[in-house]
Amino acid sequence: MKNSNIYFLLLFISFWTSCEQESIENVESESAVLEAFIYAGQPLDSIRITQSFSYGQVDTNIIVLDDLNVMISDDTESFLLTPMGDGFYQNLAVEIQPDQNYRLEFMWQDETVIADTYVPGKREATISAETVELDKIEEGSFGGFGEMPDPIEITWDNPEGGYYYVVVKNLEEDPEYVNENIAVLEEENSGRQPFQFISEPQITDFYAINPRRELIQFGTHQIIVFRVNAEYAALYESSGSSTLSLEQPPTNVTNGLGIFTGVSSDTLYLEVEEQ
Amino acid sequence: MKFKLTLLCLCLWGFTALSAQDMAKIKLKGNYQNKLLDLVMLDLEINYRLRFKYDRALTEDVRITASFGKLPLEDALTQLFKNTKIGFELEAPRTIVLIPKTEMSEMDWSKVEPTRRDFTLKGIVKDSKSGESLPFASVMVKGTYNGVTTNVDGYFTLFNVPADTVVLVVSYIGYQNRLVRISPETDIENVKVELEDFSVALEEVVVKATREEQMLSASTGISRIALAPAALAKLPSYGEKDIFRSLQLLPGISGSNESSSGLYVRGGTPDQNLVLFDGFTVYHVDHLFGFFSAFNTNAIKDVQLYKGGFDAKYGGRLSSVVEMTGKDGNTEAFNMGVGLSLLSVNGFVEAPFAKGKGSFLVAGRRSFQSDFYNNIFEAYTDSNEASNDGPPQNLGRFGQQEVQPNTYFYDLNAKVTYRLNSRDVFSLSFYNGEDNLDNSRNLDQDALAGRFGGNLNFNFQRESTDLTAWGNWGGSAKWSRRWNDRFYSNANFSYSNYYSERNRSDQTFITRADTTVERNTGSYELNDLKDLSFKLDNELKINQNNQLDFGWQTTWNDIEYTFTQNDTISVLDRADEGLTSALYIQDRHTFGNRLVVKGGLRTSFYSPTEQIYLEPRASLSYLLSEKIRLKAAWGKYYQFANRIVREDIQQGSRDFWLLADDDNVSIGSAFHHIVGLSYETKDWLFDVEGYYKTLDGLSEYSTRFVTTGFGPDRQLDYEEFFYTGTGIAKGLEFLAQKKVGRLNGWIGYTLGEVKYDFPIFGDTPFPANQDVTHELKIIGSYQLGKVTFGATFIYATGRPYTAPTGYYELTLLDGTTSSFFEVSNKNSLRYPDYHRLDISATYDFTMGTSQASAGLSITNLYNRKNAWYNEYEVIEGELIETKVSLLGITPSFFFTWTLR
Repeated sequence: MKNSNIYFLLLFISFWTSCEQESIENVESESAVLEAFIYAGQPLDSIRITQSFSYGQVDTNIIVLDDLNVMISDDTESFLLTPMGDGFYQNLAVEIQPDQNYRLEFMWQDETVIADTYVPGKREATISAETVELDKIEEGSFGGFGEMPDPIEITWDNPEGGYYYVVVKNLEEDPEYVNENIAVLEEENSGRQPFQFISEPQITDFYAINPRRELIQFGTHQIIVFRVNAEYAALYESSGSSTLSLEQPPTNVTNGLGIFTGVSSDTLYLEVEEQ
Repeated sequence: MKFKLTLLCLCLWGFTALSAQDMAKIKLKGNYQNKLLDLVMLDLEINYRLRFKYDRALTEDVRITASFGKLPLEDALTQLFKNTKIGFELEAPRTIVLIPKTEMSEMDWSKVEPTRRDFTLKGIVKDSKSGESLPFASVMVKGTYNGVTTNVDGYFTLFNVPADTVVLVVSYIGYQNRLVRISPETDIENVKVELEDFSVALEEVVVKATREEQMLSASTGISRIALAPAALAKLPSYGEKDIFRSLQLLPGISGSNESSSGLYVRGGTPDQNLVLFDGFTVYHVDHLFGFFSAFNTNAIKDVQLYKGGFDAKYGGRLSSVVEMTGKDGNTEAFNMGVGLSLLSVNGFVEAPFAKGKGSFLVAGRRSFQSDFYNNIFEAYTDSNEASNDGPPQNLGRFGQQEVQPNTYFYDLNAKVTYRLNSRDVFSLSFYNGEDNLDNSRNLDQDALAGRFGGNLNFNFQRESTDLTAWGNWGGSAKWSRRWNDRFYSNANFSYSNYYSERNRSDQTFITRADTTVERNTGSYELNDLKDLSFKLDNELKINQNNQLDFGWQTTWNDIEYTFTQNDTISVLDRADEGLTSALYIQDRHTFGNRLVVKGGLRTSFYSPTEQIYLEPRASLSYLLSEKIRLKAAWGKYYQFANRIVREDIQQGSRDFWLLADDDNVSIGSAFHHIVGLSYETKDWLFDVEGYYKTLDGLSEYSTRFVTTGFGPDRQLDYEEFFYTGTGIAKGLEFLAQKKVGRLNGWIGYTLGEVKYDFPIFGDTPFPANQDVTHELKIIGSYQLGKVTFGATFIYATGRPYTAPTGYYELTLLDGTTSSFFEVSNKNSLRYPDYHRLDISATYDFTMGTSQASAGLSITNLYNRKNAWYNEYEVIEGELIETKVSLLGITPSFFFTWTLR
């Protein structure tokens, strides 16, 4: 058995020494990336085309793609977009219409990059209260002795099961905090900033704010209810960041990456006042 | 006298008269220091009513020095004569014949005159201590090819036994082989053979049996391996004997996948492996995110693994079969045991009733949140979070609180067996196991409002639920009957339920005056699988050379999968029912003692497609010489219930079961082609097998190309995300096993390749996730007195993975910038090679009349940083790769105690 032992030992050593670490292959990544949101009722002014970064690329400056012949078309007409530099394209003469299909296309590396989308119609949102009063809590005190205000409910119709998300933003430049204890904490960390909260796109027809817990500053808050398409909601679905789950990211662009999608929105306001 | 002695002499190993089976229950204890053998024998004759027969010259002036306490008779005698030239033979009633060891091999069988010839021998093989019947034990007529295996109840029928003076070789994995002599006095209708497990500590065995301390037996058939659950304690572990982790040490089964207890057999995936426990199907085998398997070894007495080319009796899976038989319970006496490790406590109780006709066993295990448990738990939950990191995350609601997760797993086995007579056996078996993780919190505003005099007409409450739970329920009722010597039937009615629940949601209750509005946000996921089956398996022994197996199996599956967002908006909602009815027939024919051919056909009717699926199977085994066996197998296999691996939806478990409909989810099929050769000696087994499998109807799930429809109808359509592909798995397996001796174990090597071809992922085939090119395993155990040392070493080339080749950034509507990865071709990269060394030491000792053992294990001894997964993030324009490793060096211990 001595011979077989030696054989297995050699086999073992050869395996051991053959350990080598593979690394990400050095593939040049040169796909066109579309970042194109078109808003119902607004001119076409927010389309940007860039190029993806390769792994290990030394220059981390974004590579923009100017000088492309970018066309946008609805069901009847086509329009050429004007390059504005830094990868931006626009055509202010085109006003995006709700409930309308649009197609964007251009040539990149001998392939036609095409993306289609639909601009959803606007949904009117309502808010349960336009003003809410909260007790000021001074630094060092526990507070919370005042009356508990009703939750603020923002609702809209969603019979078709569309995707919505909500942005709550304090418009005050130098907002006063409801709870000064939090202000002190924020000052130590990121500094005092106007409050902003963004929900995730979901199939829903309401959004509720718990004033006592979620409204931390006084002032005029803007609440925007965005109606977005499935391709945008898909950006929030994980495509993973680890090799346990890495997948090609969702995109509605053929022969390219990124997104081309229509958006509509409705804006509401909420005053948060000291009681 | 001498002639009589000669007649009774044994060959090299010696053997035991069948009538001596009761003598195995006699236990001796003694302490003799340089005492004359004649006096020792006198002492034993007086105290134990034994009788010694011997030639006076043999024992003259022989002195004995031996000390033993309550050893079975044969073991005690072995100790007694260890340093002498004297051998012995047991002869009923209570008679011991002494013979010179030198004469033991000089037996002249030609002088024995048999009284019966060419008869049929029937009997049962049992554990000597517990009385458990031993299934799939081998009973052979020594020196011939005439042999048979016991059925699931331990019974055997051996045809054409040439004479009633033959020797039977009885062997069973995990037990000492026994050579049993048939004598003219033997009751050939009801032979009882009792085997001793090798946990009975013996210094040396020269008389009665060979000492094969195998943990596995790979020589029972092509691609078939038997495992000894009791022997697994000798292997390094995380403190728990683990059947599935041990199976992963075999060639052909991936041993480098620490995050799954499932079996990746010959390029297959765990869901392609049929797991049967007392006849019911178990659909999920993981505890603690796959770190442990869900089976308690205290409740299992036999494990059979078929790595491919399995018989027509088994169906519904593409890759392999694991058939486990639960313990019936002790038929001799009440017994109980407890065990403790750093992870869990376990215990069992077993006892006979109805004068030994019936027996029961209850075994349970539950984890506790030790530091060791929490370390493992946190490592795995971190990986779940890493795999679910979606690019844009919403900002957390203000006021969230940290909570300590409440987590545990448990399993419970119970079995009752009743042997009405030697023909009918009834048993009820039950299993339940669950893993539970509760990370929920409750933000109740009502308390504040009430206490501080707020608006009493208003109540605002938000409950944040974060619950993950999965588990199995299973039960079976079995009736087996030996109609006659030739015909045996086994009817099994079973139920199995696998559930996996993932609830990550916020429930908001708003109460105004007398109305309450409930709103749900978040996601809820439930996979609920029910399996109701009836099986009738029959064996008809037409003659010694021909056995017919045939049966009927019907399974009703009800599989529900719901993925709901917010209130009632179902993203994916499937509720499938299907009836699978199968008939099978298989003929096993032996030609000239050397060639065994099995041909079978399984036909399945599957109600969702209303089609019949034919599965022909064939295998052969040819003994080229006494030591060399050629073998081959071929077969077609279908799978109707598929596990979909879902790696890409944020939050939630990563897989779920669905019933195939051949529309969205394909019916899987596979062809197995296997050839092999084995060379087996008394001490060694060398085995090589090559396999080639073609796979069709494979399903993958992905969120690529996520939108369907156009215009206002455009939506995320999850139903469209099932992709179908084909695959090829091929490989070569080598096994070199040292079966006997203080040092035993095996070396296994597998050269393998698994390639999938999914049109959606490109024009060319790609390596499957489980593709491992080289895998080497060295497993050994060494016994030194009462201490057994164990070691396992695993080396495997890296598994493939998909990595980013680049990235791009998008500024989203909320003003945040998110990075997205442009990924490589599917699985075009490989992790670094995997290797790991584990060691253990187990000390067996007695505490009065009870048995105990304590063990220490160190896994990953040299703290190898084996790759688990890589994480990627973009920081200041640079794509950063973080390598996450599996567990490093991990010591653990266990303690077990059993009453008997």
